[in-house]
Amino acid sequence: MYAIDTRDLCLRYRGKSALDHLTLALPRGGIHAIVGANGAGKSSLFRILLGFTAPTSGSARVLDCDSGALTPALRGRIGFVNEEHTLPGWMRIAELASMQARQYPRWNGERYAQVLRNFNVQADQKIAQLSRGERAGVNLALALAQSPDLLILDEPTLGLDVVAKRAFLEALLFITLEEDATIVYCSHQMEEIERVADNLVILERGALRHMSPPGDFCERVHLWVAEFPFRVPDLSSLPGLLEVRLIDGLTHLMVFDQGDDFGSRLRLLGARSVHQSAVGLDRAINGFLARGHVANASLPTAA
Amino acid sequence: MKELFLSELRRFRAAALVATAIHLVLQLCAGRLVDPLLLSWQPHAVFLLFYVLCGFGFAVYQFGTYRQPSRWIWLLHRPLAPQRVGAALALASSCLILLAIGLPLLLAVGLTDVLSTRTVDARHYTMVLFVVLFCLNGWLAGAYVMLNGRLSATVVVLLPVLLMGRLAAGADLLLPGAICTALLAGLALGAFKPERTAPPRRLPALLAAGLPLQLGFYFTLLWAGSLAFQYGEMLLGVHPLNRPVPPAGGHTELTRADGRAAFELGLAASTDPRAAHWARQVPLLDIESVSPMTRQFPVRHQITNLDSLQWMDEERHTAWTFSHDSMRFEGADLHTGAARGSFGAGGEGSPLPFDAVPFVFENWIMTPHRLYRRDPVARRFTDVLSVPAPEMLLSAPKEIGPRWYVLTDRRLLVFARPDDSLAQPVRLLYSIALPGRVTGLERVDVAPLLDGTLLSFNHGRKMAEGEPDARQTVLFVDEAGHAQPVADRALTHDFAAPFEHKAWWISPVTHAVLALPALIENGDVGVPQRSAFADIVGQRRPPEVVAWAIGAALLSSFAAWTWLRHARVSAARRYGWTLAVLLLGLPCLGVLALLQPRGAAARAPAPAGVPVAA
Repeated sequence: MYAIDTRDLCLRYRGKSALDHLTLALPRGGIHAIVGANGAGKSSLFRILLGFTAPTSGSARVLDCDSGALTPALRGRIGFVNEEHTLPGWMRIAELASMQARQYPRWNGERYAQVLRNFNVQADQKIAQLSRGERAGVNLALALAQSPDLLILDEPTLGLDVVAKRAFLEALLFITLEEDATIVYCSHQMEEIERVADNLVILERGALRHMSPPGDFCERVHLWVAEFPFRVPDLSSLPGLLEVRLIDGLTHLMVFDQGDDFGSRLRLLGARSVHQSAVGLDRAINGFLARGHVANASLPTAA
Repeated sequence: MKELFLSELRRFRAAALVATAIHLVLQLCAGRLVDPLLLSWQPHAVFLLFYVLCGFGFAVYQFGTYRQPSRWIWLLHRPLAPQRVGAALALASSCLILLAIGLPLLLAVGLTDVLSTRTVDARHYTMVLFVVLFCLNGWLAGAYVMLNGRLSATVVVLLPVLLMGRLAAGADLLLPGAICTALLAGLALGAFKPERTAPPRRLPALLAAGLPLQLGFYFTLLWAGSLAFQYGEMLLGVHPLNRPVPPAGGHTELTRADGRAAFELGLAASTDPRAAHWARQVPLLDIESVSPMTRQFPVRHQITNLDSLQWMDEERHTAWTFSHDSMRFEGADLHTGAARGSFGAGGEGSPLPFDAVPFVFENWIMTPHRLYRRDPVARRFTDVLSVPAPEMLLSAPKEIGPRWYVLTDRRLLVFARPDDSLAQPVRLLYSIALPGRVTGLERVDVAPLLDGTLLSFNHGRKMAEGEPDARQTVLFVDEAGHAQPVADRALTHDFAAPFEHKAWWISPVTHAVLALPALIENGDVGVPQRSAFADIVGQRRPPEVVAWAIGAALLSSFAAWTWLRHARVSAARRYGWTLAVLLLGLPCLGVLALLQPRGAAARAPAPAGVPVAA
């Protein structure tokens, strides 16, 4: 039983591939974080999952239903919060909550109030009068109060200040959802991912590049620092190489899935000394995503 | 649904109240300057267009915000069927249109009725409903255009104009208005789905969307193509109407010719031995012409006015305005506005109603079958002449020499000119049957001779629209009224045959459907609609035009097949579309392009490889 299940999903838009044979199966329950550079296809994937865009080929199922045939009842079980927090500016918070409460059969008023307490808003305030952070809070409260089986959060903290971001995350973390409720959390903020995610999904150029718990992913990415006394050799043929940077005469290599023998390889290439260290999720993902950009770039001569 | 309805009302309530106030003030100001209810259909059409644009603009603003991806998801991703969301918005918008457009109009008409002596009929209240319906249709068209997102979707705006833009009784207009609303509502609500631009999935929905678009594309192609072709001809200096010297032997030449020149052209083609003699006489004669004054009579309770139904009695400072309710003229003092009684068919104070809504021309009052002359001194109408139904009068008497010439839709009536008092009934001397269709009749030139009269009938008015039998017929009528043919020449074509028959070859099927009785206003009277339909559908077209129709259909269907080659559609739908385009022609190709986006092209190579681990 998967919350989201896509098979060979492709989407082409104006000649450009937004999703490229994406096969992704997210089991029910937990928080799945989806990360990827801009244009990785995250928002396209969500539009397809919600039935707002038809895929060019492949299939997409949400809560065991074809995404192109979502019924109103099923839509009531899927919450969606986007980065813009588009709510009707002409309505008051209470009016909006009342409208949603009438439409969503599993509306949880207590949870709505509990989430909203994290934000400094009044029920009679108009949406248009709220700050971006407050609007994000109201949006989250509305989405969580729907008691969704699947909640999709598409970069919900984008553009929020530190305080609003913290309030948002705390509201999300401390709320108790139904047992098998699934949250798909898409963000560029790695510290958020580290805090909330049970599962990490990395998309790049419309394709799945990695999926595992964040801790497991970090364990597979290492930073090697090598000192080459002379010219830095061509490192592009090294296995698992994600990123190469030259800092203060030392060559920093981010590598994926390589053991201690990687150091031996560096020595064979002429490294005078090598050191290995672990990296945080932020650097690991950045390195992972930077692979396509720098791997073949020519390296400057060592000082 | 109720919550979304109320939400939408909340969204626009302030703007709607402001618009209502401004509209009411404008209506009341306009009512002080002119009598808006008395204006003829041309200014009314301008106002109607304004109201359509108001509805259209409202929808453009409304859905311009809703169609943004994130807002669209917020609106439709909820436990409510998309059509119910659309219906809630449509209902709320209808209420807002009723408030901002309908209420001020109703108040303006009602206040004029209650507080003034201006003539206000039941039809004027119907007009309010009609305007609201028009505005609502503009809103529906705007909603569809915005939701579809393609510029070509604007062709649907033509639908209310085509179906509702006619000079008919208000009650008769409600049906086409309702049909138009139903078509547009089906179209707009059909676009109310998560994937806005996706083609309709089911056949009924596809047909409901395709029908109004087919009509829209048909008229867009017809009018835009005609304009483009004519502008091209003008630029090249070969447009028949835009050249100093028109093409020889054609309708333009005959129409531009004065009476003498027209007779010379006709007599030159005659084989009658007397023709040469008459040709020498023509320059010396006083030649006049008779033309139809109207091609359409007002209809009782019609929504607008064909012409101003009012005349002034300057001596008594009274304006007499025709009332469709009482079928009499009602008087009002020009200075004080006080009521001055009524003017029936028998004269001032007469309760006798007119048999039909008249056409007022100087002192003549003409109904389809009767002609009256107003006597300003005696303050009465004199029943001058009548024709038996279904024959209809088309002109007031034209005095040429000692005779009156009157055109009907079937004959040219020639009367002995009565004395000015009209004390004696007019005497019909003879009548000449029109030698061609009245719809094509441009004018009749009359040349009085010593022993009779020469008549030249110009029957080429609708030649550029493909109507057959465009010809000039010259008759000699002796004193006893016996007509003898003198000349009968077919007019040569000013335009190429494909241009003249463009309305047919673009889509013969659509052309036939539009010729159905009373579907689209054709602006003519005198030809029973049934035979007109049979004539139009059964008309023989030149082989060249038939070839154009076949060529256009084949090319369109080939283009349709090419268009669908990469589209992700079933084989049945691909064949269905291709067959539909083959049958319905070029406009259907436009419908296809709008409703069925092209499929993706060949796939691009995958991006450079990166480590994959899962």
